[in-house]
Amino acid sequence: MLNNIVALLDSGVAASTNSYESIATVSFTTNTAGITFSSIPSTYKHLQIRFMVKSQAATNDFSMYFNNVSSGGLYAFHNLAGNGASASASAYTTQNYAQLINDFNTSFPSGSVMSGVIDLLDYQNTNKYKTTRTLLGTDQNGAGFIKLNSAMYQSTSAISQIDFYNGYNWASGSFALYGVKG
Amino acid sequence: MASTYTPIATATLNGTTTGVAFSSIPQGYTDLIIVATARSAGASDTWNTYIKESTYGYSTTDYSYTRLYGNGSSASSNRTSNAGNWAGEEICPSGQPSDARSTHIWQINNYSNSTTYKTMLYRGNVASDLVSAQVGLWRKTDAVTQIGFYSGVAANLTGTITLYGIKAA
Repeated sequence: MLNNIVALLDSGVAASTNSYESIATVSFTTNTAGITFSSIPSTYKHLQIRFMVKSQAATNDFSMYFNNVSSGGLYAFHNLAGNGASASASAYTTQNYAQLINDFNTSFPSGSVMSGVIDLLDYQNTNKYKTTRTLLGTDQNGAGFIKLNSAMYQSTSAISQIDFYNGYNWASGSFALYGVKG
Repeated sequence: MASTYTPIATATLNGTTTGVAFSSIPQGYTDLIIVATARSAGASDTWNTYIKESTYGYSTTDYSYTRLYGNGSSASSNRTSNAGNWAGEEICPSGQPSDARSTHIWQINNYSNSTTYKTMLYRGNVASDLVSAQVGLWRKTDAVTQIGFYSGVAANLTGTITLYGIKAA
């Protein structure tokens, strides 16, 4: 097949914009229940978090919250998910954190790896609530799920801290925080 | 802060080729992102994506994937296990207006790790037909040094595919 493929590489590549910067990374190889990005610089327009985590137990709990606020019911979120057989949608309001996986009927099996990308737009804006969009999923050759999530944090405060929490501990993982200039 | 999201290579699909392979991918990044805009000469076409096909060929069963998609009237999900590639994601078909293209983004986090299977996240947009997301698994621990994107029906493709690298601090 490869002999029949013509790959035409341009002499140049897409221009680099220098507007996407790595801020911080947290990696771990021992059991960890959560990680925190604190003192997030205020110099960007948007934030992106890219992560991979490996489970150590069948778990269905993975959440995030902002500015160390995990009470008061300030979070709401919507889910659209597929488990390989059917699609499902759900919504929650007045929550104490933004759940990334919890309600879905496929768990996160022990030893599996989940990958995801979270975008937090306009995180420094003090005139509106904050909204995230997330794409995450795991596949184990016969099981797994893919999910789209949108979450709202009903606060006009600028975001300076993001916490991720897993009630059953991750075996290993990495979270990388990036800033996008505007 | 060091800037990243670095373009590594761009391929032009000029209407006379059925796909492209990025080879000798640098290992100095943390994640890979591949962004494509495409149109197929076929009436119904999907991507076939292979990692390191120059090493493993096209007859392995090391791929699996779970899909979520909506076609304008309903949302659905399906799964393929023990597959020969990551597949199933539609390319803008020939029946659409000549200027129509579909857009596609693949993301492979921790691609240079040599101890874990590789997980891929995908988002696709074919405005005429569907919007979709996919998570895929490649059951090899090899670092990703080559990745190819091909028409599933060997139809000629038009568009561009750019490979980016992202390096975490």
